[in-house]
Amino acid sequence: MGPGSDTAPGKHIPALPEKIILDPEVVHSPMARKVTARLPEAQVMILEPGQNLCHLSDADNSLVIYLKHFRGRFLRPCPATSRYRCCGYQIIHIGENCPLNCSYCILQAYFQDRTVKVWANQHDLMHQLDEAFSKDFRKQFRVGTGEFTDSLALEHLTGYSSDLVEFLNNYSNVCLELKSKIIDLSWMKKALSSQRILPAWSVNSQEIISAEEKGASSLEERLQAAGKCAEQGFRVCLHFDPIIHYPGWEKGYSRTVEMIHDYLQPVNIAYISMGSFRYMPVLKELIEHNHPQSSYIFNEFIMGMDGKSRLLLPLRTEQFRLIAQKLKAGGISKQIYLCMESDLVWKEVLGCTPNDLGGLDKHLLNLSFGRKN
Amino acid sequence: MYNTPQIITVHAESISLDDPCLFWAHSPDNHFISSMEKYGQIEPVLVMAVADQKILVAGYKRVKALKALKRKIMALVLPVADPYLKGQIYLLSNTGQNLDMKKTVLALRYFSSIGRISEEILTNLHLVPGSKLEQLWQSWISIPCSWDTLLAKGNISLECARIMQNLKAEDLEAVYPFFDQLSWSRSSSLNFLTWLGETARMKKAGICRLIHELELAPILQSRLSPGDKIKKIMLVVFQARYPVLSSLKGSLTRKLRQIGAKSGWKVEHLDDYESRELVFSTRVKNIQDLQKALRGLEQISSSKALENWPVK
Repeated sequence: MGPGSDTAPGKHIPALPEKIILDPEVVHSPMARKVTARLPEAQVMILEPGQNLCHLSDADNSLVIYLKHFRGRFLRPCPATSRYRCCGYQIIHIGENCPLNCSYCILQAYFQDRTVKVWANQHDLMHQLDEAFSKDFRKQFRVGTGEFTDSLALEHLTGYSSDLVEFLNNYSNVCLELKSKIIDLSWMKKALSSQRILPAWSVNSQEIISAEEKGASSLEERLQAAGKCAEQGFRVCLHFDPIIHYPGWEKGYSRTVEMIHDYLQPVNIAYISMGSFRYMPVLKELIEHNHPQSSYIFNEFIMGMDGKSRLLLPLRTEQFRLIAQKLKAGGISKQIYLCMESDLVWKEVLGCTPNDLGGLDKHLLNLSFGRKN
Repeated sequence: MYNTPQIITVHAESISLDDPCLFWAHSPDNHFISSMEKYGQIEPVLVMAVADQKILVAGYKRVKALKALKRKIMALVLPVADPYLKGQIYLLSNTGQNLDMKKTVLALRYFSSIGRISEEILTNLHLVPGSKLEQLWQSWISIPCSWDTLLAKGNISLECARIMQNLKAEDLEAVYPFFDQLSWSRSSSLNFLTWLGETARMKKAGICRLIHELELAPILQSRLSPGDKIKKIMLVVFQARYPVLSSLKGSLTRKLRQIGAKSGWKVEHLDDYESRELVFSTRVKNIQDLQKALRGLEQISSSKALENWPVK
């Protein structure tokens, strides 16, 4: 619907894959045709039955795109734990791994190479989604693709989000969040309505973005793009995640909130999350190895009740409080929520618990569909 | 390769005992010498003939014992081999020995010095190639061999190798006295090095400087018992690594002790401030103990001690 929507300010395109690997089943798929046409220089290889992917990946760890015939579940709940409150959204699984190189990213632990997998059997994906979404149109879904990959980092090659947006035009009970750290608004052209697509960006202090999110767009570029979406009638989501404790964080995050107020009105924002940096033990070793300059992993972390390390509670509540206070000062209040935090932290930071809001998943579902709670 | 072995008898003086392949060589004790005296040499030592000299490649203890007994030595002469094969022959000739830390590190140092630690060698040293243990040993031999004695004495754990291999020479030197003078448990040694290293990185300072700033050397030189020295060093290093947590823990421990005092209950918080939950525990032997414990609990619950519990 947006005019020339993909020409967003500061458009940022990640590195191009040098090789395309295909499962034989998807060689003639629309996705394979699209990607091979958009990467004419790339070497194309077909994975033979029984052949292992690592035989075809490059030893120099250059970027590879693997168009896979995925046989699993395309729609799945976001992993949650009992002691910390999960936002309850559902993941549309479109692929795995990410071409960006964020130092803190958990995907380093899940996938230890630079092969980005894209589920190329979109027909199966859409079939499964249709089964789930059309069973009862009164049941609403808040879904997103940014859990195991960046929603838009490969959009210029795959057009996956555009396809999804087009597909979901027919499902008035589904709200799709497209979460990214780069700018690509090409999907906008496919949206018949601005109400059920929520473009979303991770936000952080510019210091953290520069040092730890190499390959991603700057904060200003992200907020300019968010502003552009707002101009087109879309409500956006912002995710302060991971919030990192570093010398000068107060100034850094305050500046980020100021910039949010510069580019967006409260009414333009569906919701804003805050999540402190947390990690599984294995990730610390990987960060030390892959990003030796990143010293934030030596902050005061304790073992949380979900087996992940988290910043000591008083330190992270201090960060949450400052950001929340500054957001509230600019009129953004009801949209704020905490990602994977306990009731104790909710109460201390926001003065309420998810139960007070009728449950976090329900609360966010209401916000995503633009209903006032 | 050794199809035509030749057995010779030679004087001890004509055998060179200096080849580095004899990495586990040690002198015989009196019991061994007596045994050689009584039963004689049952199997030949292994030598290689280089020019007019015989180089010993296995049987050091026997040669030393026979030399002490002024007896000639029966030796099997092998074709000349490279250092790797010599080391392998020596290793295989000594497979019956118990492979402790000292022996393993000596063998690995030898093969590392000639640039070849093959899978065969690892297997002979009872190390599974590619295993975590093998990787730890590989890390260990990348640090100076002056540490080997401390490892053999049990003053430091092999697991520390992964941290130590990334330390600068001056930092390794700075922590050496702590392991030279004190014997650390596995977890203490790992925590000590981890906390020091991480604090140094956060402060962008070297470990050497940090040790000076934290005044750890005076603790090492103090008259405290070795156990108390380790405890105190660990406390100081923990406080440096986790300043906020240490301060919270300190005040909380005092408060919980006060709460539990004279009540018969032990009060603990186990969640590192992630929750406000406390664990109350006590032991009872009979109904009287139980009644007493209940009174203690009532006393705690009716006091104001928990009013501001505990996280700000």
